[in-house]
Amino acid sequence: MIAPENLFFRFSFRSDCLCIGERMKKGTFRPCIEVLPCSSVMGMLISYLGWQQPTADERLPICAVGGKIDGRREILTFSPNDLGRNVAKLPLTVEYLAGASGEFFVKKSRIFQAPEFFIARLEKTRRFALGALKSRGFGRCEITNVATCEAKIVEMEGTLKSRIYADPDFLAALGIREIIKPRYGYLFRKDSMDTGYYQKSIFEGSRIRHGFNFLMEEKNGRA
Amino acid sequence: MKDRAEDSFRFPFSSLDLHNRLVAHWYQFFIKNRNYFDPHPPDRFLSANAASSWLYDITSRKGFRKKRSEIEKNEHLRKPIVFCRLKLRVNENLARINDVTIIAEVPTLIKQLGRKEISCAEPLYELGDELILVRAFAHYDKAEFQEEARIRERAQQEIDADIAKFLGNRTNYEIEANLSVAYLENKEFLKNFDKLFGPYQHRFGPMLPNKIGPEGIENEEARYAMLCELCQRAKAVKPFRKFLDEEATVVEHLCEGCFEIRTRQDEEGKIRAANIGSRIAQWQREAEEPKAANEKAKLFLCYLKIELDYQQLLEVLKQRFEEEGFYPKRKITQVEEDLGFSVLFEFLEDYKAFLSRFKQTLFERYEPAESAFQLLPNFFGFRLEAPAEVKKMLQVFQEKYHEFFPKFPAADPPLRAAWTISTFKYPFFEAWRYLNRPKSAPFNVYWVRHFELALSYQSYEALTGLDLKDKKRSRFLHNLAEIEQHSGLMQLVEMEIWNNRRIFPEIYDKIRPSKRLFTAQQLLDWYRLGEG
Repeated sequence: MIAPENLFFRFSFRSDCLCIGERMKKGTFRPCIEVLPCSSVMGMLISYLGWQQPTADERLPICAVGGKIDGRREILTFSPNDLGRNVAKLPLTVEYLAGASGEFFVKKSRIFQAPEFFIARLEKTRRFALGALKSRGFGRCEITNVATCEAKIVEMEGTLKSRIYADPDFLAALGIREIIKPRYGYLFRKDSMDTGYYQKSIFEGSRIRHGFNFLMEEKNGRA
Repeated sequence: MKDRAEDSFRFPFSSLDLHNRLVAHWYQFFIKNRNYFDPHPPDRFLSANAASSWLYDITSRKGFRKKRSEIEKNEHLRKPIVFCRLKLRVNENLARINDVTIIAEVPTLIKQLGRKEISCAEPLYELGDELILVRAFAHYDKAEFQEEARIRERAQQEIDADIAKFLGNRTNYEIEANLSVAYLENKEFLKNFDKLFGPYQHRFGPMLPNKIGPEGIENEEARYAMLCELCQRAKAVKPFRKFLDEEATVVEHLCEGCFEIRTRQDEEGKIRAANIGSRIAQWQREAEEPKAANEKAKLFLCYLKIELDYQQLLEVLKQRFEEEGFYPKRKITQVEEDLGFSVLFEFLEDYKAFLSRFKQTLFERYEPAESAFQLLPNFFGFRLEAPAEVKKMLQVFQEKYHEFFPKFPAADPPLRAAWTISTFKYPFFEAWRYLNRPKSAPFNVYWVRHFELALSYQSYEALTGLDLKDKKRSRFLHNLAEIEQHSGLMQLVEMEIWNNRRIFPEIYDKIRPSKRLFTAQQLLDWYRLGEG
């Protein structure tokens, strides 16, 4: 019997071209990252499932976290148009992952009881949209596998392989007790369907102690 | 490890000059922390007569032993001190070439940090972006200081607070650190010396708020960008409207710290000659100018960064100690105790001289005013006419390394060099990110959108011995790399070489005796780099 706080649903997916951009404004070169931040996964889930208001009993109606994404780095240069003024803007060079495959984990909760809850809202092709440049055909992901998994706590020190909110509720939901060597940044977090704020987060490469196995790499990973 | 006059004596550990400098730092450290070591210090120092009498006493062996025994019984020596190794890291997500000024400020900040910003501390050594310092505590609490872990935790908290105060709104910087607890007693002093030079265990930075949202921001810009567009780690509070004349329409929403940086850059930008961004833009214009009809001048931008691997260095130094037989009667494990700061700093002095000479040699070939610049002591930029020029730089690096460290093993040197080659439009900070990644091989070349080559010393030696000038070999080398990529077997590659031994006898003759020192992909990449 799996303890409810350790029960996660693992969704594996693949995409022909996926662009999860590094947060970098004003640059004409937009590099991509090879991990799936929790903000992207949760944003995607909220867009399909609708906004769920947190309650006093359940402060995180949906808790999801992404893993590493494998793929080939490719580059696309395009020039966006300002339709209002009918002029072309500076050309942007965007990095993306071709032939990408990855996975994300959603914690079982009162709202998210089973994977079907999410899959039922997708098309028959089991496709969903993720990441940037969706209007240009990027980020169409297809679910390849769904599994129920029991997350096991790793007591020792390890290297984080995702980007997650450094919010006490969120960290507790993922079993993380101590951040030994943080690599801080900010991720967008919704606080309603239309509004949000930037939440202090820990990025991949941070060293943590005591967390779920799918979040961590071995102790001597690069940090 | 060079020969010096003082080396002729029994203990060729460090030069007198360095020894004097270290003594001065320790003197400063004790003076700064005299209340910690002795809460009731004497009102005044020894008089000149008393001091000379004290010195006279220790000239005899017996007197020396007696004084040493007295000092060792002093309970204040059992109070802990902490050695810190700090490295200042720059935000890797910067967008403009002018932001190299943020990198160029690193040595100044390191100096500032070491001299006054960390309480109860005295810097022992500064090297570019790194700082080694020794630190005591404001008060001694015997009950609290029983466990080493507790001491380290307290030091960590205090240093974290000092660094957060020092960095303030400098959100583009972070400090990685290693702390090691030590006691002034003889045997305990260098017990944790090795730990200081392992992978960094801590990271300190400026205070960052938990949430950055639109609440409380009264300025209009905050509606467009809540997060600073330069550091991405603070609330955007000010718009920076004009950087250069040609960019009059560009608006950036910045935090206080980044706004100061942009204002400073704007002022410095007016002195065009000193501006690296303008120089690179000039090189780009030259590269785009037609050389002859329908022909563009082919120019490349190259960055070079040299890193020192301290762990490997300590290994090498230990090995040298054993080989030189300084302590033939002792056990090998005791060598570690003798590898103190003086030996390490002596090497670092030589390393500084090596960097300086290496730079001098390169700048003879690449005029600093026209085709080169230096950002940090170990970080350079060049304008190249062909990627093959990197091979010449590699050769210079090797020559200088042998010249300065002749007794160091060539096979696994503690220095790592990395080059990036790209067009001028390729963003600087992508190259910067690659150069900052830890390297395992001593020679690393990354030709953007072509290949990433990491070579051991043996592979480099084997490849330089090959003659790959004939362009006909290109197809054959591509075939070899493809066979290797698909099969993962070097035997199949060798079979293909054997099959073609009559068409390409040179490759057959050279690669066979090389005993698989390099892969087919490395061979192809080396060939693609061009003629050196």
